[in-house]
Amino acid sequence: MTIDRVVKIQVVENGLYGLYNFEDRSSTGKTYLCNLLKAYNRDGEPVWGYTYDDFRNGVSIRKAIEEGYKLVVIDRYDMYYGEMLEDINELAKNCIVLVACNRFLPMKCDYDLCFIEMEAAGGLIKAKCLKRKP
Amino acid sequence: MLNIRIKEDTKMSTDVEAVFTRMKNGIEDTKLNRQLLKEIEKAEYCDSHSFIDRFGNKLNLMYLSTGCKAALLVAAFPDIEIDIDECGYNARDSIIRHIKNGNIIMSEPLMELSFDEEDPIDNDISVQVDGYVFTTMEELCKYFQWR
Repeated sequence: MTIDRVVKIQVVENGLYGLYNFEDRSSTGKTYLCNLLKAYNRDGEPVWGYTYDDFRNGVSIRKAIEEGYKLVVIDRYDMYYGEMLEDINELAKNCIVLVACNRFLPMKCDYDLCFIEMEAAGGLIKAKCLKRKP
Repeated sequence: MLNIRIKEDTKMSTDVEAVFTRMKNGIEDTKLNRQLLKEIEKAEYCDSHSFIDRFGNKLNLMYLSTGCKAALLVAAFPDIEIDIDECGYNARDSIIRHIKNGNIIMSEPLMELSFDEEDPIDNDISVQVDGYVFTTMEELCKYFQWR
């Protein structure tokens, strides 16, 4: 999946819907990506960013299921760890869901790994999603 | 001494982003703050309210990563216990390597501490966990493995 706007977002491993946890490293650009997806969502792209402020304001992750979004970043999940598990699992069936959490996710289903790379002064973000081999 | 308290549960006790927002005076130009910015963010200190990011852009401090904000908070408020569970392993290790006066709370590390036994910084830490004092990253790493 590629979203070619002011900042280009490229998700490597096209079409692999599922749940991915970002690598446990600070300052890779997770929050930047989340904010970009929020902005692109306002412009009509089927993408979305969800963070702790949304959680505190009572925004439900179900919105992403109902709207049929295809790429969602769930940022700062450590702050609301264990919440909305069923909705997140359901969302991941038809969407690439990237979660920023520094612990093992408390998910019942499997989740995979995502690395993020920022290039060219933040003009390109690559999210490399790795599926575990069966 | 940097005091580390290990959590009994998964609850977060500090919202780093919210606390950092309340730092109206920004951050001081100290050697420690510069080291933390450099090591975690690959950034340079600019002034009390901005930094130069790895691409050369001048940005407001609010654009720092949460891990780097947590590290700066630990350094700025040594009497307040800061929850660093939102920090990635690189920010966590920088806090432990560089900050010699502060209080943090964290979960049992999932990823081992990284250290270089030849690096003088890694052999000059000042950390207390469970009442034990550690002066090298290697000792601390082995303690966490054993604990």
